Amino acid sequence: MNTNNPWKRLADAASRNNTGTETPAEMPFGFDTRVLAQLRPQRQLTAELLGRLALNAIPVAAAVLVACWFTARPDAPAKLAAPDPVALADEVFAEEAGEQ
Amino acid sequence: MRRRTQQETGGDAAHPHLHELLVRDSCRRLKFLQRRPELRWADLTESQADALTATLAASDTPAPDATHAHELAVKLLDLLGPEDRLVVTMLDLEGWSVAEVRKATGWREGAIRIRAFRARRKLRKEILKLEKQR
Repeated sequence: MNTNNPWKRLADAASRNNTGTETPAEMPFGFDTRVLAQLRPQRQLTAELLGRLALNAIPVAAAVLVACWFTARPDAPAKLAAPDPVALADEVFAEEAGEQ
Repeated sequence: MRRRTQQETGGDAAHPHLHELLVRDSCRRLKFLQRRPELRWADLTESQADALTATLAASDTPAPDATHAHELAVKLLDLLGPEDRLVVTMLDLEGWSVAEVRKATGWREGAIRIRAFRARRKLRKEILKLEKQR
């Protein structure tokens, strides 16, 4: 910068005022909140991504579980099974014997 | 500004994003300040006028008083936009180097130099305009 620049001369004089006489700086209102708001997403980006995927997987997993349970539930009714012909014949004979 | 960044970032360069956040915050705050469209000789206090007279005097005369010079410099900086004001304050009033300003702001060195050059040129014009009104 040119030495005969009046701004340079003024700035040199003004900068002497900065050494030691300035009051201690204070943290502006809300600054720490903004810092934390911007730091948190940077740090937990991976964890947050996994968390979102896990949350999306919960309803899908529940639907699969319900479908599997309806398909192969252990206490299914016996009438769905094929009837035993010998047992049917015994029932018929027993009914006829009872009528006679 | 330097003291503020040192206090709030621990004084090291380990958190450049904090510096940039602080610079953005400072610019945002400066934008809220009313930008003075023009400065006239009548707007200066007597001590500021004396400081300006001493500034405009020959270089072998005593330098202006530091406190009044600082007040006058702040009044002149009110004429600048937030980014220009920030750069000139850091470089000329607080003694930062261009590399330090680049690290703190994240701006390119060329952009910082150009911004500082234009801001100083504007300040010089304003000072000379004030001299004519004297």
